[in-house]
Amino acid sequence: MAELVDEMEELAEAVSESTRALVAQSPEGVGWKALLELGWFELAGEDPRLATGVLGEELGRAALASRALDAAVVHALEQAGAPVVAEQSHAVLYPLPSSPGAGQLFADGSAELDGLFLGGVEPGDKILAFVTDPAGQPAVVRLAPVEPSEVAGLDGADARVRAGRLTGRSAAVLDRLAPEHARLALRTARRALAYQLVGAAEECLRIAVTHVSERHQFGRPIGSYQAVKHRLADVRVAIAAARSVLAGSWDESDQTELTVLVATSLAKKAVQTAVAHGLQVCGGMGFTEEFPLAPLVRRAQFFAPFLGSAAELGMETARLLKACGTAPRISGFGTP
Amino acid sequence: MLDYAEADEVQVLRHRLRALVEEHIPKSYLGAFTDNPNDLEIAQRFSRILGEQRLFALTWPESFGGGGASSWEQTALREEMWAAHEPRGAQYMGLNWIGPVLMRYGNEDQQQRHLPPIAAGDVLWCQGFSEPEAGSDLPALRTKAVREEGGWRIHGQKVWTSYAEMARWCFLLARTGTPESRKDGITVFLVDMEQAEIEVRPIPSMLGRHHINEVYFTGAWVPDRDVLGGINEGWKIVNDVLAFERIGIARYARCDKLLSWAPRALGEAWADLPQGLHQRWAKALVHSRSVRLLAYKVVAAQDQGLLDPADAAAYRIAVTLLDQEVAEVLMDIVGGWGLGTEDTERIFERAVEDHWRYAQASTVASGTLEMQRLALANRLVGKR
Ligand SMILES: Cc1cc2nc3c(=O)[nH]c(=O)nc-3n(C[C@H](O)[C@H](O)[C@H](O)COP(=O)(O)OP(=O)(O)OC[C@H]3O[C@@H](n4cnc5c(N)ncnc54)[C@H](O)[C@@H]3O)c2cc1C
Repeated sequence: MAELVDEMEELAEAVSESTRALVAQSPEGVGWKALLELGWFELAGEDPRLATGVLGEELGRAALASRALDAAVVHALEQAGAPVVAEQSHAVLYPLPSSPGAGQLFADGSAELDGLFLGGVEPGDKILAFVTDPAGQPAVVRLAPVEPSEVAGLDGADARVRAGRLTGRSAAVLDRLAPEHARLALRTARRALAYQLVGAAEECLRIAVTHVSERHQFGRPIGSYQAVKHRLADVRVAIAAARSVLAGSWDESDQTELTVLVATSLAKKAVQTAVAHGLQVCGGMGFTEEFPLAPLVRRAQFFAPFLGSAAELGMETARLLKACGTAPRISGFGTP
Repeated sequence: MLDYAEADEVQVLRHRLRALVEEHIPKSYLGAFTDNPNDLEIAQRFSRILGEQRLFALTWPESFGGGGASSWEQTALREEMWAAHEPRGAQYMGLNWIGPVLMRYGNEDQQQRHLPPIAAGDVLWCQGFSEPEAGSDLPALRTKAVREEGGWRIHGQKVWTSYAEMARWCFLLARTGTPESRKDGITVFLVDMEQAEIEVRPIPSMLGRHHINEVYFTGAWVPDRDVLGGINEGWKIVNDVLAFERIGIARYARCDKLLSWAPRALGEAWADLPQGLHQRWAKALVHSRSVRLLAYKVVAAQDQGLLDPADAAAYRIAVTLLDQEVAEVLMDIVGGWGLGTEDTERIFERAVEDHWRYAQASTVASGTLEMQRLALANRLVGKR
């Protein structure tokens, strides 16, 4: 048993290291090809938790653009037997904040789109889109390829996300995935997002801890003051809460959906707490563009409403709980 | 008993100010320090218009170019201006505390030279307090004033100086005592910013490219006539400055405006918001109204010369925390932050985004939340 644990830790360390190296070499963002070359899909086949967790957290720390959410979605769908192949580069169209889908599907099979690509689109990419079906239900469809020129940049948004918006296009829908695959796709995307947010929160905390250890006022490091320490502790608590539920969200059960919802909302809470406290303890310095908090603040704000704001996730959680009529234990509860 | 009914003249003033804002300030205006130089122009022009109508230094004596009005009228002015994203730009600083402090500590010559231009709305001031090593620990400041025939030469560096790029004058703290003299060796200098020995470097930040700056002094000259108060007696003045600063900005007014605007701005989407969010919205609105009452209590007490510094500190803590609560609620309400916020059509979203960034800084600028809490608590437990 001890040996197995050792081996797993070694594997995790090795994966972290190669992921960190990839992230460090990719200031422009991590594309599909880079993920293939990293062997990310094979690793995800063996240990999806490790693959998604490490990649997500490293990307979150670096506040980089990437296809990581797309890759997680396609990988999960492929594993579940949906008609997608991870070997091929995919781009996923996500709903705009506060809207239920990235487009409306009509009874004649056509669709009117308005959604977001998170890590850009390249010519030849296969396209998946989260849409709303004629009955108002969430669905995932495969679309004919999109020309990158059809995708508009996002004014005023975090430029490092490299998000693009596809608007007002009636697209050729190739086919529609099964409802359980649509649900799987959404929770996979949310979970991958949650890891990025936890990574961003960790990085805010690291920056804050470094700053308060080095910065002196009144002849002492400001990290020696209780008011400052309490804030750091609160951030750590929020991160730990998100992490533990995220870890539990991998056990497939009838509660997985609920667990992912809770984990996503805790991850959003964690990064918002980290940003607020990080800015506060870093004082004036924290607000400057040269200080490393700036890209993380923008990233946290960009993602806060994405795939459901805290309030929307809360509503969805309540709906699920009401539907099942009991208060289930969160899945994974009790597993180490 | 306090009478909360607003006097007729205050109501009249509000309507007049709203009409002026309506006429002169574009709907898309979000403050003077954006990347668009027009915004600064707008603020400068508006300040002069107010100055011409004696609406600028409303409560100042008429001999200094003021309007001789009551502090309730001044409160209405602050509220209307802050709610409209401060169309006076950086001018509020001169009005809120530089002028009042000059009235209290300045000699006649200083008052005659400096007050009328502030009241006319055509000169900007900045506040040179913080230094790289002296933030919360302000008495650690090291910028040095060296005595010469007829005046002083300033050497050193300030940081986070708001509006230094556009300011004509700086209200500067410098050390005139020994390096260890802390509070007992600080003097206030009124420094003309138009000198080769002063270099201003903007610091790009979340608050825009033209808000905060570093300022380098390499022997800048201050004649004796621009020393404010006595040598080494600056700390007393600083405390007054901070007390004025604490109650100077009617942040609750913008909170109230943005919250009240939200249902209209969202239109049909308003009804579809999660119920929990409606509740948080209602709660935030209640909080902003209660902070408004706290502000009125402080104004009334100040009017009668009975202001308890603990109340002033409590107000400042409450109003900055309110700013942040409202920012979070509004951000959740607009949801699509960052998406097309450059789009001038989406005025509400842009206003919310702007409010969020400024709210984060409100618990750091002019003394951090932690330092305010300590000051308040130390009064309670009898430590100074
Ligand atoms: C938008 C903005 C505008 C500004 N404009 C001006 C200006 O015009 N002129 C000017 O002079 N300055 C200005 N400032 C500077 C401002 O006054 C300082 O940022 C503030 O006083 C804090 O100092 P600091 O940034 O050095 O932070 P620090 O003092 O380093 O504080 C960092 C953190 O440590 C905490 N801390 C420090 N000491 C203690 C303690 N003893 N106990 C508990 N906690 C503690 C603080 O609360 C804070 O959370 C501005 C700042 C901002 C953000």
